[in-house]
Amino acid sequence: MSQDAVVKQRKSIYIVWIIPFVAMVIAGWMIFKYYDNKGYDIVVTFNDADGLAIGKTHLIYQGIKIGVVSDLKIHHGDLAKVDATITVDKRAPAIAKQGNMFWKVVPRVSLTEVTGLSTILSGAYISVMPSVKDIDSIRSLPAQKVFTALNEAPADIFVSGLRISLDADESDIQVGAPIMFRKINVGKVEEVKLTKEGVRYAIYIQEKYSHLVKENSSFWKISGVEVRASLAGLRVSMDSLASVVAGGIALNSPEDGKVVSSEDNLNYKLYNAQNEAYLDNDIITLVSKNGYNIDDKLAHVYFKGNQAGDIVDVVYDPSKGESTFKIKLGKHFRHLANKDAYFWIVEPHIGLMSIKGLDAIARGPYITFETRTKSKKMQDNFTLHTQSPLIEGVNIRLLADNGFNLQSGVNIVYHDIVIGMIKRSYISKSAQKVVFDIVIANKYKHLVNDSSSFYIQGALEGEVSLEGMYLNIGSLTSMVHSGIVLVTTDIKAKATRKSFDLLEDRRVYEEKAYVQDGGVFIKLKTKKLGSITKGAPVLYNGVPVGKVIGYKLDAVSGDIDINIYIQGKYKNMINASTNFFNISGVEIEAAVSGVKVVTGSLQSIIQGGIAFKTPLKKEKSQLPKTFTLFEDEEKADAKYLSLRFTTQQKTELRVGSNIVYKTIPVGEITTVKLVEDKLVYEALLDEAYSYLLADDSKFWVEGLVIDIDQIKNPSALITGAFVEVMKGSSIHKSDTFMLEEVAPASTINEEGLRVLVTASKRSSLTIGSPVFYRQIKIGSIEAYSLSSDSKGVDMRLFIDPCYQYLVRENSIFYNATAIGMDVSLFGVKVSTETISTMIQGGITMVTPDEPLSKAKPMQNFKLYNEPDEDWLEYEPELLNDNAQCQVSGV
Amino acid sequence: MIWKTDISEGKSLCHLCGKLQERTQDECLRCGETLHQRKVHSLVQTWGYALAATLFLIPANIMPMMIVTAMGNNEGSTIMEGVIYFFSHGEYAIGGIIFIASVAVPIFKLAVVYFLLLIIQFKQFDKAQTGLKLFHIIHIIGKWSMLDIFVVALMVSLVQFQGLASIQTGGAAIAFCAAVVFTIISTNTFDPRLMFDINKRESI
Repeated sequence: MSQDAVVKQRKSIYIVWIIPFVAMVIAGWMIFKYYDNKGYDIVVTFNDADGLAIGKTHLIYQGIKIGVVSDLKIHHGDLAKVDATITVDKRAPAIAKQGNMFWKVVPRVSLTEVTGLSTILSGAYISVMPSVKDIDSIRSLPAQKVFTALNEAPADIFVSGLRISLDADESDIQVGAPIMFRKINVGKVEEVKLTKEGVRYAIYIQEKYSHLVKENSSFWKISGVEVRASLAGLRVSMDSLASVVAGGIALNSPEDGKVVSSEDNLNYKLYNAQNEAYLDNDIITLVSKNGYNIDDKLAHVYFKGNQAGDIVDVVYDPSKGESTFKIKLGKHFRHLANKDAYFWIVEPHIGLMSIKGLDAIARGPYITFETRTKSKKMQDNFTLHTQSPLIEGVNIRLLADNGFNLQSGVNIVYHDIVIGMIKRSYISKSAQKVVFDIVIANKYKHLVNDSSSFYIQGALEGEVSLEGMYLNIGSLTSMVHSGIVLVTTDIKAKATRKSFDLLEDRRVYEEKAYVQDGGVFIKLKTKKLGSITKGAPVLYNGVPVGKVIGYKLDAVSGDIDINIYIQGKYKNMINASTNFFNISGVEIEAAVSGVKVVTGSLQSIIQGGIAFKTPLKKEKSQLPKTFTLFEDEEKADAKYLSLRFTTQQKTELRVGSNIVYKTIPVGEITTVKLVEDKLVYEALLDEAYSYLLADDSKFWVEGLVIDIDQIKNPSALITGAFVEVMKGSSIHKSDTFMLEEVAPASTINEEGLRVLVTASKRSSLTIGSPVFYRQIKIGSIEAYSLSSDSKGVDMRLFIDPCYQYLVRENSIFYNATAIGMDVSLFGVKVSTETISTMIQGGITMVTPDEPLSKAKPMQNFKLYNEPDEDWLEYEPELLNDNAQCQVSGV
Repeated sequence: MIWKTDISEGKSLCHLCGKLQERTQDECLRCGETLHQRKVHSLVQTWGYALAATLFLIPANIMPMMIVTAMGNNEGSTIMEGVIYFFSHGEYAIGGIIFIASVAVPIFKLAVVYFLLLIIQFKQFDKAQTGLKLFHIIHIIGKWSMLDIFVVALMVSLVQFQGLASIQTGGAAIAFCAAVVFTIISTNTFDPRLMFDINKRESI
């Protein structure tokens, strides 16, 4: 059968339908992914929803956003809390597991930490931390969907380190406070919990420092700023700025000791201060009758200046009137509190002149102790004394004019070491002196003996002199304490004295010591003091050999008496011939040849000075009571004139032989020289006898002469020969003389009649032979010499002016020496004038009965050898017309 | 309503060069292009693209259009949220524009496309005139839906202050782009002459 073709339209599936299909897939996938990514929900309860916003606040773990707050509700149970529903990203591993900790991260800026600053801009976020590190153990944890947020970030579990708990009494350390080990921050306080006994701190030590913690480590609180003030200085120390604000804990570990590991249960005690960590646990009780102003929180116990312990408690018992101090000593010091220990309290004591315990002003009164023995027997109960322990030793008494404000306790020092102290002081019974009872420690008692001196050491000793400036500041303590210095010049001297004078200061002592070396005091007299002062030096050739001790004005004479002291070793340089002269100031000598400026030492210019010269070294006579102080050197030198003698003969003269005038020594031979075969003697003549140096003065050597009728110059037996001088009358001066061979006649310069007689020979006549008239000496032979024609001897006679009238022109002179001997049958008749004429010879003069006029000077007579008989009968009457003569006898 | 159509007149328009010629040709006399009376598979394509666009509009409105990271805080906002945001901040102009461009217009367009497709399907020839007008409207304003994308693109490129504020496109942007593109394509594939084909429907 044929039909019309039915055209069926094929239902084709248009390709275009792929597009919506794909679109559906994509869209569906996008939406699916969108919701899928939203993850799962957890609920975290917070204290408040500050900073939380729905859709905005994220859950961030390790910086990755893994969720977002999707809902905020008030907690159904507790109205004070808020539930935040967090939609957690699917990819976030194991957030909804038990033990996970959530907390809000808010910006926290404090001195201990600055964290979460990014949240200032971004807003707070929530952070999460698992409780265990290991991913597998996290996964194995049971699931949990509801959490309670922590108040603050927990310890970062991934940061390994050491976690330690510390027990303390008080919680004054905040969370976040640093843990310091030798000022390095090694950790921090994580948590503070109150416990029954006190406070427990959970601290965390960084891993890299965890080896510092050992089993026997100690922890103590650092008190922010530590101020330590004492006289030695002020010290402010801070550990770290953080510790100043938040407090801090310091850690110290001894060198030995086992390092702890984190598995151990670590619990330590937190001490309040460093030394507490070292305190021994024994409580030592000190009992005292006095109450003290001790702050038990601040005051310490010291041992020899070192902090040795703390005062734990102070209790006052009114019924017994006692204060009880409980102290704890450091572990190293505990054994020192043995049965011989002596505890006392140091309080500041300020007096006008002495300040004691000044360190106590800064520290407050404190307790200190000492022990004399090394006894091992410990004790824990002591009496607290007020006084420092008494020194045992020798008691000495010091006397002074003044109390000098020295009080008991003042030290006695020897070479700057304290060797004793003043026990007490009082006024002597007679009220004249102040007596100090001092005690010198036994081990130093050998330092005090009879040669000791005590003087007060002032705080500052200064001496400015031309030798330099000398400033001695005692130690700082002596500046405040003031002390007494002991000086012992001879350590081997006997020690018998128990009482000494207390000298006012060092200068007084030095002065006293100066004049004790066996020297000599000399007085000088002068009209002008010049610039001499007390203490001015006395120089010899520029070397100081003594000192001016003092001077005073003699009110009567107007002279100034100066008292000088020449040191022992130099006193031999002074003898009777010493001249002292003033060398103060400057000497200027201006002459045509130039200007000469001479000064003594600088000191002598200002302080004045005295110098001396001793010209006659061998002068042995006694020192005069007072010497004259000459104005200057020239005037001293002028005291002696130098002269010179020459002679051909040998003499007995030697250096030191005197020059004598009328038995008075007026000079001294200083040198003996041989010049061109002539002996030359140089001598010094006392200036006072300069008139002897007339150029016609005669000098001759006298020695010991033993004669029949006399012994001449007996002293020359001991002193030796000397030069005798006869003054001349010339006005010209000379300083060089020939020594006469023979002493000139003593009459040579006298007024009288001189006549000449001529004899055939000298016989035994010599210079000084007498001339007699009727056996009375009327003159003597002055000189003789061989007559000019060599036929006889001319003699010059000196007739005393009182007997001049006896000599007439016709007087007869005969030699009376001859012994008249008449031998006759009637016997022997010896007639002689005198015995001495037997030896010395003599001349007799007769004047005839008819005397002629008086003889003229230098009239010549003949000297007969013997008299005529009739001459002996002459008896002229002669009258003495010289009114000046006194007739001796009748 | 009887009107003259190209079919009734026996003419055909070359879709390429626009030469009106007899519909008997296979190829255009002027350009040689194959002659189609109506757009090829117009309806089915339009349906397809319109559905695609509709599908893409769903994520475009659910997913965030823009993720603003201001101060570490990420905030994704969808189109509507953005509109609400601008309105709540008093920015009525911008809000209005975004609303119109991103919400109203796409929906309007799609609605119109569906309407057109449906009147063809249900041979509601009386609505053809209205449909034509509507078609012209959506044809013209179609591209302006991209305005919102343009805003997002501008925001993203401008607000890049790292840490302080930065904007990134969210998933919705892509979806929205796709949606808009598909609506445009769908209006392009739609042959409005189909609305006037009373008698026959040529399915080529």
